[in-house]
Amino acid sequence: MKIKTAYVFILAVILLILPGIIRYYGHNMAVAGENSYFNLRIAQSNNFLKFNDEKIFGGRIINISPYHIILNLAISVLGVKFGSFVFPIILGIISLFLFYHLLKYFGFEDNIKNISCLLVASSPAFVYIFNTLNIYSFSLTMIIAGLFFYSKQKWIWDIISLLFFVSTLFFGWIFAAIIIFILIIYSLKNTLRTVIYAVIILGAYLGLFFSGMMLYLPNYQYDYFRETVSALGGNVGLPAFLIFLSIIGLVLRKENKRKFIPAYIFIAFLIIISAFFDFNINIYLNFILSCFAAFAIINLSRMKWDLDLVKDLTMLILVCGLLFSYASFSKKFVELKPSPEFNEGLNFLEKLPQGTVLSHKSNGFFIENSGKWAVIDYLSTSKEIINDSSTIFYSRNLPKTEELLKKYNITYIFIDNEMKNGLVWSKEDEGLLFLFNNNETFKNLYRVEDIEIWKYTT
Amino acid sequence: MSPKVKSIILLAFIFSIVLAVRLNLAFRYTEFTSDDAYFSLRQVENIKKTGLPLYNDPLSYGGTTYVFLPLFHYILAFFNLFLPLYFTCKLIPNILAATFVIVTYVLSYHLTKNEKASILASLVSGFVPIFLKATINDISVYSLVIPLNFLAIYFFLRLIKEKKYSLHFIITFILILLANPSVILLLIGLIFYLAIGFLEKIRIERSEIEITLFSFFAYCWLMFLIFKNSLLNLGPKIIWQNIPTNMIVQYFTNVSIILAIYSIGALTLLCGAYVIYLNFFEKITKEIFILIGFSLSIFLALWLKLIEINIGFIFLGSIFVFFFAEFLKLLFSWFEKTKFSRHEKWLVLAILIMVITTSVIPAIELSLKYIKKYTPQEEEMKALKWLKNVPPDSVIISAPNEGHKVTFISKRKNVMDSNYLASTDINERFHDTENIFKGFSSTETIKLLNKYGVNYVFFSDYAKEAYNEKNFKSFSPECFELVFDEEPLIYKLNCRVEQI
Repeated sequence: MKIKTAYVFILAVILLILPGIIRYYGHNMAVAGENSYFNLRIAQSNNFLKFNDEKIFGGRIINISPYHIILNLAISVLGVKFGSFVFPIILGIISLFLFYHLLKYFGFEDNIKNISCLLVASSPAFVYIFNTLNIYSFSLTMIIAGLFFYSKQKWIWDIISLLFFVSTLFFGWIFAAIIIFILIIYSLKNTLRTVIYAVIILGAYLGLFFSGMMLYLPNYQYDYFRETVSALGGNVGLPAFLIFLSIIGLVLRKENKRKFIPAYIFIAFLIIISAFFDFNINIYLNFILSCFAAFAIINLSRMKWDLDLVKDLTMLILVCGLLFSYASFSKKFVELKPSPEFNEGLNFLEKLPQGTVLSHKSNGFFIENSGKWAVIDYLSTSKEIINDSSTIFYSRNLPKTEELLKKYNITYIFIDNEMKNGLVWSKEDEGLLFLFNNNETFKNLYRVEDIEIWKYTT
Repeated sequence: MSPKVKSIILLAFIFSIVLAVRLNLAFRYTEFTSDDAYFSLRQVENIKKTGLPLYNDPLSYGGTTYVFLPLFHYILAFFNLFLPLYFTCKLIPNILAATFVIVTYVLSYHLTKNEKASILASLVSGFVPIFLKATINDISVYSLVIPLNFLAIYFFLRLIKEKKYSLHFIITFILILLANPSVILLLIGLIFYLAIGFLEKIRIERSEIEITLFSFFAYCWLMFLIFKNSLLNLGPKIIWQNIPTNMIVQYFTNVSIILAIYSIGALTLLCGAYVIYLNFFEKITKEIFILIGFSLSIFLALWLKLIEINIGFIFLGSIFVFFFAEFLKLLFSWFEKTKFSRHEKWLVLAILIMVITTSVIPAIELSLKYIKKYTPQEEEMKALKWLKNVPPDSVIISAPNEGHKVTFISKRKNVMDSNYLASTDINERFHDTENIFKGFSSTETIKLLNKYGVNYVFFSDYAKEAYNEKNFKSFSPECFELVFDEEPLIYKLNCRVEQI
């Protein structure tokens, strides 16, 4: 690796880990994001096939994926706190490294490779995915690793690459589709090899599907536009400047336009997937768009400009825009749930006698991780539970609320500032908040900095 | 006297006339016409006092954060250091708006190279009906933005040949950028121009693409930087300025030809339409295509209901002035070829008469009517000043488009005003405000008033007209005490609805 590339790589790694470090030094030692706690709990269960999740109302069976097995290994070697912090970062570094080498394989020039890596590492989607515990960091690393070995074109590597590909199929058809799509694009000329791969992957996917080994992913309702543009608040979003630059890159690619048609189709495919099925797929888009954006930056800087002043200012704004997007997301990442106050509340909850806890579904995984039973979380699909919890939150009718609290055997109600500021309620005395005035029925156990824990006394 | 000096004298004369007309109309009334003017007054006051705009407003929406681009208010605050507030806010916007006459002359001359056409166009620019109406007594940011937009276009055209104008363009563009987000219209206009140029095979210079690219990135960056929190809170809703859904229909009225004639002026509109037709189907003039691109971006924004109709027409009216200049150039060159070329001064006189009858007089009449109808009268001011006596922490509800006025004069909190971006529950607020003023039932109205902690209801003439005041009158006087019983009514709420 050349010295320049090494510097770029170090810078990329710094960009990746910096938000986590700032969060850590901001006295928040807890790993960010609700999904981290869901995955951590599965990994900690020490099961290798199925995990009987009893911490949710009604219970459920969760299939264990290779990700959780490797995560289990990581946390048992490194410890839960350090392991959960370092494991996704390691995956991120591996992804970047392999991505760089894939670009090399594709014959991209050094500058494009370097800038692409920096753009990828500074994007909010990458920072979020590789600083939290989620299956997307794993699947992405595995797909890139699979491609990396696939490009070696030797049968032994082919088998390894297949293993990497198959390890992502536990997460659903989207990943099978992505792999098949990439392979078709990747080896358009070598049709037989692609067909064999596609058949194996499809077969493996169907095998996993029919043997009931798929991992069911949390169910989010989302606004695609908002989730895709980081400036609009999306965690797995792309910087607006990266999107603009990649469009310029797409336009500027005048030569070999035909060669890039598969890439354009793949971009369209990923946009459709992330718009209609899973916005986390934006992370894949991030890698491809970064290449085009890097191409745009290189071309804009090399192009002969009539107005030198305008050139300098444009480049300055581009750098500032990308840095601003990174800094802005880093600030957001530092403030991601669970905050220290939120954690203190959870610690308090953990020490209370066992019971079922009602909260917003976004807090479900945290509650389950604290050892209590949650009524609802992001995996809950039962309409009855969703409607009933909503009725409890908004109703001012005490008998009706009590009836539902008894139905789910709810002992505690956990409330955070997000719930009180629009996520559930907008007014101070709305629904359940109004009913809390009834001292005979509800007793406040904890109230520190917008975190409240109430006990329902039957 | 050289023709250039003659033109300068004529231009100075037109500028003086336009300014005189503007100031005459503006100073007829002590108060300002639009509600937004009172928002500007509060900002200017605060900038003068603290050096910063009132981003954290303790009175608007009962206390909220509202971010906007403050350059225009800073300019006014600067003059407010030497001049009284009301005087500054009447004088400076009118001077700024009158400079459009000079910008028109400069740009028209660059486009047409015809003195007469440019002078006549500059006269027309001083009396674009909708622009005159909106900038006389409204402390409108468009008094600054419109001249700057066309100055930017002028520099854009000049930089093709002289690179030094790129700096002029950048400075002008940044000034507009710091004054109002509507500069996006100019930016899209430039992109349209490049696209049309590509399609029509017009030679596009590299410098034109470069400056457009720079402007695009500069715009995006600054908007993300300034409106970051609004973007995070409102998401894509910010494109429609978070205007309440029920209001969007009336806010973005459908465009009609009658409205266009009324706003832009019949003569300007006809001549402009002819020039557009000519450029698309017969003779292509590169410079005119920039203006066509600009108008296309405004048409698109109006069609997609992205800008308020009045703002759209202010821009369109201003662009059509340059089409008018181009039309005059064609007319004069055609006339020169006829047998009557010796009598050109009669042609100029005829045009002048047409301009006066179709633009100047209707524009003044329209502005007068508008100012007379919407400027708060003495009785209304008396009621608003009366509200200064109520306890300082009182909350006053008024019709949504009267919120700034109530807050500025009474210095009390309002429930809602026209800064829709300041609220995350705008639809609920708007709906509740409407229901309060419609007053369907006493209990329901009290409940809603309690919800926002309202103590006083300000029933202006406008509110009486827009909602039904009869219902309100029928409510129990014990709960709704009529504390100000003159033309605008003020009710004091004495009751609370509580659930047991």
